[in-house]
Amino acid sequence: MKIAVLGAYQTKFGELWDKSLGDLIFEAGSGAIRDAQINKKKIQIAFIGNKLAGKLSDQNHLGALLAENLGINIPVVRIEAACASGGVAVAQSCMAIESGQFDYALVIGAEKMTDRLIDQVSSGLMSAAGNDEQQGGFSFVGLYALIARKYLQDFSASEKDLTLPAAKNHWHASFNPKAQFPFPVTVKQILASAVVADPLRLLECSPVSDGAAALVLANPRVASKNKTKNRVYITASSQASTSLSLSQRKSLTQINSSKLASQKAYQQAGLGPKDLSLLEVHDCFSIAEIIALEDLGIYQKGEGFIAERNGEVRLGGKRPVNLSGGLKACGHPVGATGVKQVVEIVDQLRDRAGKRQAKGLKVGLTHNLGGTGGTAVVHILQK
Amino acid sequence: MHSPIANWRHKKEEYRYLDKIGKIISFTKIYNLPEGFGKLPYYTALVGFRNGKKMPGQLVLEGKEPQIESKVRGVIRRIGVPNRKDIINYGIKFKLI
Repeated sequence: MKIAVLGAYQTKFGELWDKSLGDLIFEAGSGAIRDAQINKKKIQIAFIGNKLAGKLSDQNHLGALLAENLGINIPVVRIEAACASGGVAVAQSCMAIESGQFDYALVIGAEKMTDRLIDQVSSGLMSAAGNDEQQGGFSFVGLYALIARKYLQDFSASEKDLTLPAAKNHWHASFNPKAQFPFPVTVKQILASAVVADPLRLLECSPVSDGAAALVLANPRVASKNKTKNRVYITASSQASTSLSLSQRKSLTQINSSKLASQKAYQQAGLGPKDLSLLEVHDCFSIAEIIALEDLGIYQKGEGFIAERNGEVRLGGKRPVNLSGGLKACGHPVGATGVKQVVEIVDQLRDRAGKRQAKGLKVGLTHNLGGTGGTAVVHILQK
Repeated sequence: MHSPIANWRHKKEEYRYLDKIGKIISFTKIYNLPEGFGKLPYYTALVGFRNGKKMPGQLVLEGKEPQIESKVRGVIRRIGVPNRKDIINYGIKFKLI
């Protein structure tokens, strides 16, 4: 697979009270088109990833909302796959171009979450969990807390180890002006923050956020005429599924869909986990980043936390993870996240990530989960 | 708000766990919650049964502290706090034994 990324753009993530869902879609979409240096009339199809607009913005007809805001009349498809909506939208855009029917595609991930009270947001998010889990009084942090407790029981990690991804990602976000929380927090501050669902604490949880991100993708045949410099290509796009509910899985500490999607992606790109220079992984809660490092084949089972301890996943380390600040500190407007991860890797590979720019990069991977991993999407990008 | 019909359909499956004894696979104490779940904090768990089935649900402690591997029994309890227009939802919770 070889798909050219011509344009990439992310809005500021955060509590954006002066911006509607339509405003966010407009800013991200027009930003990516501008970055691609093409006329918007060239775009032949668009995809929009979003989870909660029906519940939180009273709007389900997002294809038409996108068309209205960007002034385009092409087919637009809305994708919903919980927190993986953005990643699946990118995957569908790749498929559209691979099919040969379209040369240019626009993909936008957008979410507006802060117009409503937190219990409404929380119950909207829980529609991504199994019915038995909803009935059982779980929140998403509660479900990930089950995973975290089992991980602490089965392996030699401590509660302090759970804080390390959050502290690292806040440090990365302190170099990212588009992050929701562009400031560092210490392990001590994380350990002192309120317990939300034992053993997970407030500062180990991704926030409620508004934001959008967008990409312009193209068939490399037509992209060769494009003026953009430092071209980046998507060389693998892979999606896999596992059961909706944790109760239907063999293991609590392994997300099978992540394993399947990444194995297929490595095969597509013709490389392995050792070839990766950087990753953006789905750290909705701190434990999720640790498990992702294992499921993606980079570390052995039960050893993901060691990479967090020895610093090799930090900026300046051997293989930085979540240079954007991740979901934890860059923010998690759920439908936007999977697209933002690709935007971050594109910016890094194009050497335009500012103070958080890593050096010597060749291959980047994005990993986006829906729910507790019922859906997983992996993309690999190369210069 | 719960659909009474969906609730009735769901109960037929859920009540299979009434009086069944299982073990806690993992658990948590929840300090924040979705709409309609009443008093905080409360404990929830994933419970495993001898036939290999697993079921998530709230724990009834009655003064005991849960642990991984603790034995529990399925009991009927009210689930959450209904608003004025909602049905009063009864379902399975797991009591530590």
